[in-house]
Amino acid sequence: MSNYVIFADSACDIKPSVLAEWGVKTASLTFRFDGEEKEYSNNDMDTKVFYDKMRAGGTAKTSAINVERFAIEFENVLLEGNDVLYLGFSSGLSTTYNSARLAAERLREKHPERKIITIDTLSASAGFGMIVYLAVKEKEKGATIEQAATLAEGLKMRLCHWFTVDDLVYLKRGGRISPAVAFVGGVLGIKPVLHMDNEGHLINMFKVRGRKTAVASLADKYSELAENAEAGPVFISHADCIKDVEELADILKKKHGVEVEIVADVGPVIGAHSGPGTLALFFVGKER
Amino acid sequence: MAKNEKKKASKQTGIKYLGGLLLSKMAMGGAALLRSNADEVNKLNVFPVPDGDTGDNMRMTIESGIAAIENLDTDDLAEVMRVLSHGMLLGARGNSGVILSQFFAGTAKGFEGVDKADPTVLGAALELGVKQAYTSVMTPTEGTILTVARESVEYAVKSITPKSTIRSFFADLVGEMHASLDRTPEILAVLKEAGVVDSGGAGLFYIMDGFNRVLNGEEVADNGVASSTLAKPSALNTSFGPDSKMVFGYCTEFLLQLQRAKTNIDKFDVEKLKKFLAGVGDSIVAFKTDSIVKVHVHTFTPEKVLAHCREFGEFITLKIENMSVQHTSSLNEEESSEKNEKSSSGPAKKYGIVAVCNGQGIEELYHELGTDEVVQGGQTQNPSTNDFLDAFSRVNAEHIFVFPNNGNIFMAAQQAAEIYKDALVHVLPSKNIGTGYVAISSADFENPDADAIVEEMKNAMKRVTAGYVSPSIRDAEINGIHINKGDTIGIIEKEIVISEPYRTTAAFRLAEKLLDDPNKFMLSVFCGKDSNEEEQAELNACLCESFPSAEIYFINGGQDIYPYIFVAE
Repeated sequence: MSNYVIFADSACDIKPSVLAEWGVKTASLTFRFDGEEKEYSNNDMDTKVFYDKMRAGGTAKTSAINVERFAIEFENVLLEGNDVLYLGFSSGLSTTYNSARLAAERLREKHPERKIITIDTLSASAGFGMIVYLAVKEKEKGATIEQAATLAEGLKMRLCHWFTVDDLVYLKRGGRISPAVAFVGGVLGIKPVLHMDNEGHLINMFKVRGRKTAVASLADKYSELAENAEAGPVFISHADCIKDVEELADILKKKHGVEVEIVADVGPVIGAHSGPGTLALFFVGKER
Repeated sequence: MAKNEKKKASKQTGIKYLGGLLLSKMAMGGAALLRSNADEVNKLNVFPVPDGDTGDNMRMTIESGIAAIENLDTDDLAEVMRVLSHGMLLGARGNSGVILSQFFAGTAKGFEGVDKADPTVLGAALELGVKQAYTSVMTPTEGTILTVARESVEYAVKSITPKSTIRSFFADLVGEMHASLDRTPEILAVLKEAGVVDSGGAGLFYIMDGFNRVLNGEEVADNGVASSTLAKPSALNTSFGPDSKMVFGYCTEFLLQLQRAKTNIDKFDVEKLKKFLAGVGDSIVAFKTDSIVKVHVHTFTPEKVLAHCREFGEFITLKIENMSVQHTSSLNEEESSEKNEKSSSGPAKKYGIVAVCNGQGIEELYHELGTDEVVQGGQTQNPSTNDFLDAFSRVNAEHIFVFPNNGNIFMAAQQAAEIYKDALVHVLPSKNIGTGYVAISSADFENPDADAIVEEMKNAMKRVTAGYVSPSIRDAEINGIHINKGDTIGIIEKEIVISEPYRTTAAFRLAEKLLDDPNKFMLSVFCGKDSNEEEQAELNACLCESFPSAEIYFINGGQDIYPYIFVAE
């Protein structure tokens, strides 16, 4: 049985040090502020600095990982004698996954002896991170690449993403939203609650009055949908709003006795679209 | 001459029956007497805030009835009362106006099939009127117009003897009405505390006293502003044709761009303009935003209004409608559906929203929320039942949600909802522009179940607590709080909770009281036209410092009376 490497990308919002611990390799999407030349990856800029820039009116554009980049990264792994299991950022939000798929096709011809499996997780941020995390655990338990892939494939339609943003303007600007709920723009105090659907698209589900209500309604969704509310796992990611993370974690603990396993920063490549104040909750349910 | 008058008077003393023509004359006397005393009734306000308008509301309500019978030439009592009360129902404004119109409508039912009434029939009809007035209110309160109507009718009926005449009946009725009115402070503590009698009861007294005076051959002096034009009565069901008489005047609306060449824009005095408009019309709305003045007036002489206004600028838009036409088509059922066909090119949408607003800022906010029709009005200018009917007819929807945004407008909206047949109308009990705003923005209008939406909005309204900042117009001692004239008072729901010499302090303290509730974490501040940006900034800074975890939103409401309305949730 040959060995394999789990590969992800920077849209999973898991810290590089943690990914290294898990033995996961990644490639990075990039971003650039309007009117600036310099291109960054998530690790090049502190999230606080990034969101302060956004709050000050900065607009960031993101770039997907291209085929060439994946081809180089994947081939390095193959050349070391390992197979590749790539878990990728939702194709509903980025062309990154497609780049990986094309790179994989090319490399399969060049290295027919090696396995390259790519999975479109249809997930984002720490929800995507949770799929990576659970696949790593499976691998640690001795799962083959096929078994780990099957797990990830089976998990992705049950990986619930529920989140709220401070202002829909960012999602609208990036064209990253489908209006399931007719949303009144600019109404002060109204907070949208969104989720990610089975196609990996962001859907506006309902609106509430006030941030506090929005935070509480994320917890309500957990109570309603979590497969095993007492056991978790629970991940939360946030765009510079740690107080709300604490509040949400507190509610979950009080209601279900469950601890949040990972609190992640929403990195710039996601945050450029969702904006400062994004608060997202991830867990495994029976369905999304 | 003297002989003649004496003969006339004695003839009236002996009046055994009340007929239609006499009732018409009496009603006109009632309207005239109330008109002369409307200001006094306005001032009978429980709170020392400048928002009393009961007198105007009742005056406009009865005037609407008078306009309806003006051209009615019949002595049939039932017919005159039917037309009179129907006109009043449509013109009803404010809760007292609605109750008054219901009192007349109930009485009209008692007159059905009666061409002239003796005291016994009259008494029985008035009893029906009292009954209907009581049922028109969800929770009848004693010590109000209801009590005054009930006690006086009870007394007059009890006093009927075989010798009774219409005149003796009215003498008993009005005499007891006055006594009953004087007793209202004994029944309703808030009246006693404020040192006033009930304003609605007073309005009813003036009307009935006017009836009585006509009956006694007195000329009722009319020192008020004659204004039968706002009334949109039901008497005329014909279209406006070559032989029609101009009865209702013109609804005149325009945006006036003030011109530097013609006037000093910054110093342009809207109040002065309003005074001019009051001389040539009524139903006046006039406000200035930057260099544009919006005007709405009902007048017989729009040319005068236009000429006067052009002295200050030029029109951006201008609309003049013959209200007889407007009126007839909205009342005549066939024509009404025809009109709807015109306005409803395409299928009706599921939900529509009608809201009462006053102030450009708040109007824009409501439109952003998806409001279809705004009915102009507010605390000191209560729209009539008919204003609501007009608004409903312009909305092409299966369900219409109505936000009266004022406790005193709710009943007129409710009355319109009952009359209107082309949509299911749901009136939400929003007490101010803020709670209405919260309710609309809480609702999910994708929900196919209208009742569920109503429920959702009602729950949202229950969740909120409203606070009002208002200047005080007189000294008072209420709830143990000493109020000096000129102080700023803070009101939570219906209770005065603070009084401060400085407005900013009053506003801050009121907000503090609202946010001290551990269940409240969000405060929407609707800034009125009398507030200013510096004060708002100061208030915001103080609140953010004191309540770091609260969400505080400042919204430009542009409302009058209250520089600030707070909605805490």
